[in-house]
Amino acid sequence: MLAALLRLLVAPFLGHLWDIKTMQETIYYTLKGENVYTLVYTLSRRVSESTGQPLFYEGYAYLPHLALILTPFYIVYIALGGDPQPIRASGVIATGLVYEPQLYMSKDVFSFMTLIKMPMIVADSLIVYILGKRDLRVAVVYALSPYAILITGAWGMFESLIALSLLLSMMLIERGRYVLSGIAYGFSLIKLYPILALPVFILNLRGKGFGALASFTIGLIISQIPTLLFLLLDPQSFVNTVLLFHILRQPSGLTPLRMLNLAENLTLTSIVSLLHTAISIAAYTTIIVYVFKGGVSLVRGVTLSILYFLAFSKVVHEQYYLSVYPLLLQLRMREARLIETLFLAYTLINVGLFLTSPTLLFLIDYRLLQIHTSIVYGDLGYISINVVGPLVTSPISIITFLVIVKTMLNIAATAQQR
Amino acid sequence: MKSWGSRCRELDSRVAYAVISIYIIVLSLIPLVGSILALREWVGFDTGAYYYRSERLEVRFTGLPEGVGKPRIYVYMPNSSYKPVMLIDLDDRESVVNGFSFFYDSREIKFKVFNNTLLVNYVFDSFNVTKRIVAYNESIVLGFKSTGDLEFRIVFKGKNYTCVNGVDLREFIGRSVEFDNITKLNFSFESRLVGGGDGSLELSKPVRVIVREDVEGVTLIALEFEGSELEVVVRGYVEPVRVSSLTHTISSLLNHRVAQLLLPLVALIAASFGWIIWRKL
Repeated sequence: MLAALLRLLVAPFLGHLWDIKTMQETIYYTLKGENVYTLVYTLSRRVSESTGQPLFYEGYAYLPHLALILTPFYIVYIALGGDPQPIRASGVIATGLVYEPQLYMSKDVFSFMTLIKMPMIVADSLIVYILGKRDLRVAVVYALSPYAILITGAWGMFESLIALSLLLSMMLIERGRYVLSGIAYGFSLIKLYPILALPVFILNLRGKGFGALASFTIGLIISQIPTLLFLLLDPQSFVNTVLLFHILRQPSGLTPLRMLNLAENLTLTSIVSLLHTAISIAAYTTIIVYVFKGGVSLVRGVTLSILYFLAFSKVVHEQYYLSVYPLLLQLRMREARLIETLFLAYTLINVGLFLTSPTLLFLIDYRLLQIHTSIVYGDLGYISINVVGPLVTSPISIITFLVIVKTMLNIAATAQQR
Repeated sequence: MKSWGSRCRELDSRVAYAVISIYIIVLSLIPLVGSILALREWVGFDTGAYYYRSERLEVRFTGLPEGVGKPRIYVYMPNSSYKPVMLIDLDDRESVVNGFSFFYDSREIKFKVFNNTLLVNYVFDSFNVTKRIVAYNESIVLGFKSTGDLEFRIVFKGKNYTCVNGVDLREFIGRSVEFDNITKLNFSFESRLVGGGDGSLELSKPVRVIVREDVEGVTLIALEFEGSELEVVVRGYVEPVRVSSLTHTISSLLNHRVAQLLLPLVALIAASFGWIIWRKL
């Protein structure tokens, strides 16, 4: 209750406008009978063809489950008389559209924000409940976590759904409910990176017999029926949007690769990213071999695989850590809270409240963001975004990377001692 | 006394840290290496954003969401690593063809780049305009070409301009200066921080030019002509000046070149600080 209340207090007034608009557009067009993957792919092609650069439109790039979860809440919002598109943008299509001055909101944005964030807030509350059953202290830390409140309540990100799905799938394996576990794990794949935990699940289930593994697989297949339907509907758009977009994306977020932003050269960045991918594959293989030989527990194995993603992915956005935070809190609270602090600091430095507060924007007219372009005459806007930004965020990225790697080694070491 | 196993783990931890640190330092050197490799060719760095850098000039074409800097031309002081000085900026928001703004009214923008040439094609409802930017070591050529005879108003902006074609702008505050049928526009600028400099726009055919103060410290230069083609050669030169070392340091820090030099140092400090945390965890 406390967790839900804290998140609900901020939910109507704050939001990551671009990502919430993406969810809004996804449901809006899906209910109109459009294939959202086809729409996003069309826009992506326009961006890359017009710029001649390896760039994508940043739209809905996840499995369809999220849209299915959010749709009932959107229908309730519409039934209450809400504006179907409370957040609108117009003008040039670009990845940096969030900085575009032409972004408008209707007064219904407050009720929309509240309702669309409800599944994520409920997920956070269930996480607190599950953690509380095991360790009350851990549950309180998560419920009061400023990072979790910011990501779920303020921004409206859906990582809490991933975290809950992972927790549930592991709980259900403990209870021998393998089909349900497979379904729960399937829901964690809304964003594809939890797929890295699949070998860990398979290795764990292998020890429980063929029946367990087969049941889990059936559950996983059932959970992916919506994915298969959309894949069959327009394979090219689906693969480009859900898979290639993430693979070919330029480095961003809390990763040492962020330093490449100062390279100002997309081609060079792509080459270095490719080399980084090779190193990452080697690191991941080492982890899986270790899990295979070391008989590491399911919780540790899954935590290691998601932490690996946070350390080696070339895109590590502010919200990603939330998906593994409840697991890590149970294993290594000290490290979990240190990483939380680093992600929180980065989130506040990188985006701040300005771009996330519709109420503030209502008061000062969003077009004032043109200040950004006007100040450019003094080079201030350009310098702060392209020069000072990378210099400030690079040390945080480096330290976060080091802390995550050390945490992984610590988890591995304690698993070995046991 | 530490056990053999504990010593081995400590050594493993140190080796792991050393490998990771080296990787981070190598990554931090990439922007600088890239900058050296990218000399004298257009390089894409963001959504529709490109830059070109020679020893004397730097040209930046800003990304799709921005309406100014299309392109923005900078000049470096001779024999100096000092921050480059903005010479002139082409404003796509205020530049219009037949009353349609390049930035607000074009339906689509397409880019092509080869060696020192950047081609930007603006697609409007009933016509197309191609902007050609060719960068050389001493000058930049801006070309405008449309699919038919159209009315152009190309708007440039510059900072701290003092004089245009012999007219002292400080005597014309609040008023505009007009030049009819000219093929060359010389201008001078003076900045407390970076000193003074000169520049010129050489036009391929006679056009009407209107000069006025836009906002304080910013001069607007509008070229008006009717036709399908115009070429503008932009040249600039900055006089090196003596400024205080503090001013020099602060001003020099805020540019890409120095940021690229600073990054390995920042990475080294972060990696050293990381070692303290690494040992405590």
